[in-house]
Amino acid sequence: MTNSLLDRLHRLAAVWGPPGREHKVAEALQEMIKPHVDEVRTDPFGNLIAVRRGRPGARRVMLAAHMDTVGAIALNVSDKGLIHLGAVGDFKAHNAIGQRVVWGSGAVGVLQHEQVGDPKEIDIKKLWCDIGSSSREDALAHVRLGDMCTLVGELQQMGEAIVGPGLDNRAGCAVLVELAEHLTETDHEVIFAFTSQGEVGPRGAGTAAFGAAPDMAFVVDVAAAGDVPGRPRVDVKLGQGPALKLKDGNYIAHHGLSELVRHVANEHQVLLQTEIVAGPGGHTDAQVVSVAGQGVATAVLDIPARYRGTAGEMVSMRDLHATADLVIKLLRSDLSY
Amino acid sequence: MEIAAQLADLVRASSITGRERPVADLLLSGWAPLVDEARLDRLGSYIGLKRGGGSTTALATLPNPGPETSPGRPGQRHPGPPRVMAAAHIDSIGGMVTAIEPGGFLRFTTVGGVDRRLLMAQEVAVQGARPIPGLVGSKPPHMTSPEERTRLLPVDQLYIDTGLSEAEVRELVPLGAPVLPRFRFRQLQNGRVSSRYLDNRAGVATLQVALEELAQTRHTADFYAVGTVGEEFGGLPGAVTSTFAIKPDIGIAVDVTFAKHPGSEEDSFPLGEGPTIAVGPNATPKVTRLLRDVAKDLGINYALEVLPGHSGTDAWGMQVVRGGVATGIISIPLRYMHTPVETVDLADIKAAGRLLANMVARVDAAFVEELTCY
Repeated sequence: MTNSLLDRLHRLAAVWGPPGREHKVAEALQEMIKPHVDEVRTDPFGNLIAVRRGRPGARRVMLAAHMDTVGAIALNVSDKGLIHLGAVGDFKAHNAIGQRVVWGSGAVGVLQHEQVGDPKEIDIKKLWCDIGSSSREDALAHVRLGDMCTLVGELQQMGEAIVGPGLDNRAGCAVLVELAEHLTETDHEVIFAFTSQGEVGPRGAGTAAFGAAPDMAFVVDVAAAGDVPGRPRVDVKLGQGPALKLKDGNYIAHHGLSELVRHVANEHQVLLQTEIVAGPGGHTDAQVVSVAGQGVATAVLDIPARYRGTAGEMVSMRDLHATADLVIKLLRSDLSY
Repeated sequence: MEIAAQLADLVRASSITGRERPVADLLLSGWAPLVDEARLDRLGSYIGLKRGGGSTTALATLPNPGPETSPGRPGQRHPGPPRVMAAAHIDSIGGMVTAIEPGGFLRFTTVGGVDRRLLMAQEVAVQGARPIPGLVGSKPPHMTSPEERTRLLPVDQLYIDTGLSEAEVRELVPLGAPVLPRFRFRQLQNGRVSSRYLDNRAGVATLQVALEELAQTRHTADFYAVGTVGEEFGGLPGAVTSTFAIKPDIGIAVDVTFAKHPGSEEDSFPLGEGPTIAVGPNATPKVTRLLRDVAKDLGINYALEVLPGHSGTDAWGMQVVRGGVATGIISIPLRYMHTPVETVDLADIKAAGRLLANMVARVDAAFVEELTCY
């Protein structure tokens, strides 16, 4: 197997890793990034931290991507051996009906929902996971209460588009490994933070930033694209490059660093879009990174994605490459804003 | 400078959450004669240090350049004279351009607690490559149905008209550009003034009065005047990060509170009869006591403001930084909060500034030592 961005994405998207259970993702990432950094460690919260040392006096830059995907947790098992579920992160029942999942134990199951007349009645409380057991005892032998499952499926390629579960945010993780490999020259110390519990908080990114105390940070994540029905006000399209997030319901960008990102993208002719999420929704690792310790100037580069949280998340390889390219260009600049 | 003119300068400066630099720059230049040292931190908060008598504290030693290798025992004090920090947030509510429509109309979203009822027909300034005057357009009553007339339009259906062509708008206005209510500073009767952004430039002006007072007053504590970013949006980022860097013994939030007017709730305070001093879980009783004693000794009128929980000020964030910070809250009564016609009484700002300065002058090592004793 080669080490192209696409291969890494395939490998990373296949790894089970719901919030708080990212250790398998961390193992895969550790193996991938080790040849390209000076030091790799995990912190007490479960973040994977890889450091590439810089020249004395240069900037200390954190690059963060959350490792976890949304999932569901086993709450209870019926006498017939059907597992009842709770959402971990923004796991939506209507995205789960008829889908396959894999559990931490390795057990495979299918999700199904009670028959309802009105789609508004769809609720995770009426969803169950069937792992082929016929009794409570048998089911509990394969899936313990508190075990978590995530949607599972093969990644498929359709031209530049990649489709499958787990791209939020293994796409970001793959981009960080890619740029670690291709970042031949930089004066700056680069701290790669693959963060835990990005989908239930965010949480791990805050402890990672406190521990590393960087001068600045770039967060790489995926964001909902607006080029689908029902999202007319989101001006982010697939295939048009990473989106610089200026605002969501819980985050406002650092203006100086945002302007630097725009400037570097413009100077090197790298595609860049602007993302503004109106209203109260949205979350990003940046909201906890920016307030860590005495404060961290932080920018968010989002890979546009359609159908987030489904087994058919869609991103464009073009955007992944452009994101890696833009961060490399940034790290080769003097990073003054 | 006269206080009305100072306040007018402060509200003229553009400063919505995330884009606070114009006010921070104003403090860097305007307060330079009043502080020993000043800088902006990484998130853009202004930190000015006025050293106590005999103190050799330097701002350069404040930030921790690398990872926190030795966080110290909880509650462990820094060496040197007592540190009193006063925080007034320098950001304000406003809007952000989200899209450019055919014809050059601008779509926008709100930043912070903007009152949606007031948006239609509001005059605004769009901070593009240059400040551009605009207005929020709306359908005339002749074209609206009776049902539409009783309903508030969602913000994403409103738009800003600048008169510029679409090509000109695309040239001058980047997505994300701030949108502010139009600047107009009105002097009403009896020392009352009305403008956008008196929340919280009234607090910023209070810090300035305190710095001017401290120039004439002996004090042993180091005083940090901080203009914090991001208060209006949630999370209190500027308060939390600046407090983390400064490690103060006492943190005072200076903000605005609700003033009485017809229809105002019971928990509001008269205009022109002095600031409020907060009591509640977000205010350390010994700090509240000190503020009240100082006010009494100086003959400053104040009202006691009971805040049962989150004070809605920077003090909420400051109180739980590191091993904890003793906090107090001083507020300026203000009418019509979060509208373009916020109204305060200049006498309240002067009184609050005097109160703050004289409180700082009373803080010594013994008082700080007492804070950790029951």
